[in-house]
Amino acid sequence: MFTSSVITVLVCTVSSFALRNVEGTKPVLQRTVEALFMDRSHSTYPGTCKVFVASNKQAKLCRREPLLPKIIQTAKKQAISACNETFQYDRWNCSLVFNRKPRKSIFNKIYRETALVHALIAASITHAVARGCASGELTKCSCLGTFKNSSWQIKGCGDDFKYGKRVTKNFLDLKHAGNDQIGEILKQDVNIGMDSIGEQLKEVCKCHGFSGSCTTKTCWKKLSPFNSAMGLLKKHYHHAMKKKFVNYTTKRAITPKVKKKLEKGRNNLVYLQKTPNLCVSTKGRACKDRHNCATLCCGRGYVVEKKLVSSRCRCKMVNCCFVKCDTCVEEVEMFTCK
Amino acid sequence: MAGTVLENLSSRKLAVLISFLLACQAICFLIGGLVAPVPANVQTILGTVCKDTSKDKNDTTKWFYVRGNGKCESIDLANVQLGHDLSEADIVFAFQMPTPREGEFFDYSRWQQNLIGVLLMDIRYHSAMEVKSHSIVTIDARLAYRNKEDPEDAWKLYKQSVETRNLDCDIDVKTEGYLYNCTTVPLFELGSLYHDYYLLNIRLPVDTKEMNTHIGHIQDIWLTVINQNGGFTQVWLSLKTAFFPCIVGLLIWFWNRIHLLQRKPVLLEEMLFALGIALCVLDMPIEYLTLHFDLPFMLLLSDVRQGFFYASLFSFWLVFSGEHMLIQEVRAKSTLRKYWRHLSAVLLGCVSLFIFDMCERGIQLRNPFYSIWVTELGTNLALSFIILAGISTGMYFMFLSYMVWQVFLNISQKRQSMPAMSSVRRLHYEGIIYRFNFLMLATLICAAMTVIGFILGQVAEGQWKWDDNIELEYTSAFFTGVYGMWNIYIIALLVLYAPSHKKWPVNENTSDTQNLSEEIEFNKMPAERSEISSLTSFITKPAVD
Repeated sequence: MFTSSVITVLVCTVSSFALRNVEGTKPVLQRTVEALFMDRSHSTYPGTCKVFVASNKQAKLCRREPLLPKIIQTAKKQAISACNETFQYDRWNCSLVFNRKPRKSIFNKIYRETALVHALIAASITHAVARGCASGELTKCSCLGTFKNSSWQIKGCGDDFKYGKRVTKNFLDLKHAGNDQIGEILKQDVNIGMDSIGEQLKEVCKCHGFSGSCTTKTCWKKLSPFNSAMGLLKKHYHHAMKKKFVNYTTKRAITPKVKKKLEKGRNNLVYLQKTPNLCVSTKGRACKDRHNCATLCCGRGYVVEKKLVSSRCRCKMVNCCFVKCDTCVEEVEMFTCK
Repeated sequence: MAGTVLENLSSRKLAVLISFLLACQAICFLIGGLVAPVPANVQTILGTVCKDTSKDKNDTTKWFYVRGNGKCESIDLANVQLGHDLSEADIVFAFQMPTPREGEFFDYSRWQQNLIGVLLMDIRYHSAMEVKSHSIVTIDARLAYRNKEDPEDAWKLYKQSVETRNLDCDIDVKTEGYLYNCTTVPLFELGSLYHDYYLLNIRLPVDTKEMNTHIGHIQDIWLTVINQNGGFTQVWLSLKTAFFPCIVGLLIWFWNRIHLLQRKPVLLEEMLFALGIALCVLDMPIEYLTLHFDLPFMLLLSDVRQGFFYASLFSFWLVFSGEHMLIQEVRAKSTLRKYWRHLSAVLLGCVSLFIFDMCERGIQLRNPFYSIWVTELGTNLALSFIILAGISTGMYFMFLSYMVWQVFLNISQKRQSMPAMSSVRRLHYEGIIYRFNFLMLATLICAAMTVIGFILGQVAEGQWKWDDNIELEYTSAFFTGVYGMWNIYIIALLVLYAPSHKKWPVNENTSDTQNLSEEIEFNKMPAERSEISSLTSFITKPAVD
């Protein structure tokens, strides 16, 4: 079962690659995000980046920092698992295609979901790079955020988030994302993804002045775990804004009204096409509670079953880092959409 | 000969001097803002989880490090289950400092002066296992060092300690997998950064049944190390190197000037001299020694030096306002004993701060992981010393403002009776009032600038930008600015309040002195007794009159 699904996914990716080769013009940004998000296998590809078929520029980046493929791999896994977990009880459950129709890929057009996935991958790479810098795995992290060119011992070092953002921008080749509307929209989505990591940074301070008082106070920003940024992205997903398709060749003069509209959408995810109705595919899906079922099952109703489920309970920490639990058997209500 | 330099200086000379000092002040501020980087540098290091397979966990020759030959076998905590191949005590969190940047393996420079380590724990929320908001964590911390010329596995033990720390955690949104907001855990303070590389190994032991069982599920441990920036140290030390000889030279000049007089120095001059010495001690650039020797007591010493300086500055202000009372009862030379009540407040504050500092930073000399705030007794002790210091500061300022208020009262009384006085005496009084007002103004301006600067630093962003090329590093500018300001303040005091050579009242610069021919003979009498701005002898005269 699993292998067959892997094969179908592989076939899908291969076929979509083939399709793309026919199209041939998709910018690196789109190609990378799709490749990373669609490939759920752990296969290695030829070339220096290993995780996917990289462009020339990306291959160069991977060659320069040998641990980058590992970081990208981590970013990919982290993004997919966070997405699956967060959208478990939503109509779109982070699937690659809509309504289980292999031809309806979420990457065919710029849907709300496509926007989210772009933001998600960007956020995940930013996070993984910043984390790699902090753990000392990545050795080429720059000291951004400090001015004047002199050595580290003299001027100090900036924070890792800024560097993560720069690597993401370079890796996804934001500069060449395209000058058309699609390019602009995806660029904005990617920026929102990266900023969601920035917004989740937590400021921590330490006083170390005269006698330990706060005459000298140093503050820094600490990276939060990825799932809190994912929570933020889900909010963005629900508040995403649809943009009208504008043919750039016949672009009219930007009136103040239009400009205001454009400004307003600056902090939102944006997309172009409406998602097809996903109600068809929610049959048989599990839902969380009655409230969730009402939306997920699209009004068709749901089945409640009582089941005995064994779960972990009475957990204790054994040492710092291990949770040891007993197994309890409980009767739990299970909801399934009709 | 009477009066200080200040009264006898022509207003043009005074203006030149003051503008020169102001220019020095501006230079100090700009050097900090334009040349120096931020005072402190922060590096956040994510702990690598290493597997300790050795039998003897107390072996301090076995080290776990992340980079270089013989690096440890790292494991991912999320993927391992406690089982037969991994026991509880096998987990070591390793932090190797500094982390590599820009493709180079950096090392610490001795210019970076000190190293402060703070731990942050990522504790995961589990609905099946909620964590109490207050818990105690026991940390087995071992710090090792290595130098550039050593082989990559030759880590040597620096200090080792098993410490307990308070951990307060809360959570806003109780979602599975989210993190608690936990307080930071200050771990160590090194007063000297003598070696090139440092390595911290942390274990969370479970030696007793209760130890470390209620802290929750630790997902990651982050260590933040703060050190002074080398560039800032260089600027700071150059300022000290520039100020130190000036102050020493000025002190010698001041002392000579007093000894040229035929009387003994009065209390105020002695106080001013003491203040100069305190500034000398503060300015002495002994930090140069840390570039060659391992001097872990530098943090403590700089606290003591600052404390000494503050104490003498505060005492000076007290004595200065006391000595400017225009009505004095005693004819004899006043001594410090007269101010014992006021000065005891200063002394009490300083002593309690010193004891607190000795308890914290003093003990840290032996054990850099020590913190007084961990135990209940220690916290109470530390708090009581700090509160005592606070109370005495409050008392001091009450005394000071009372005295200043009295002086002002005195002055206004004297002002009323001034028209009736002879010109000579009036001139004397005016001199005293002028001297006092000048210092009051200067002090108030300096204090206000310090406070405003401090508040601005708290409110504003670190870097101020004018255009793309000019950026001002505000924090550093504040430090060098304030440091320079108090130096200049004391330099100005030493220069302006030194006894003047000029004969009084043969002083053409003061407009009032021109038609005083008949008073000159009268003036000879007091001139024999008091050669300075001596208030004691001259001012008590009206009581006889």
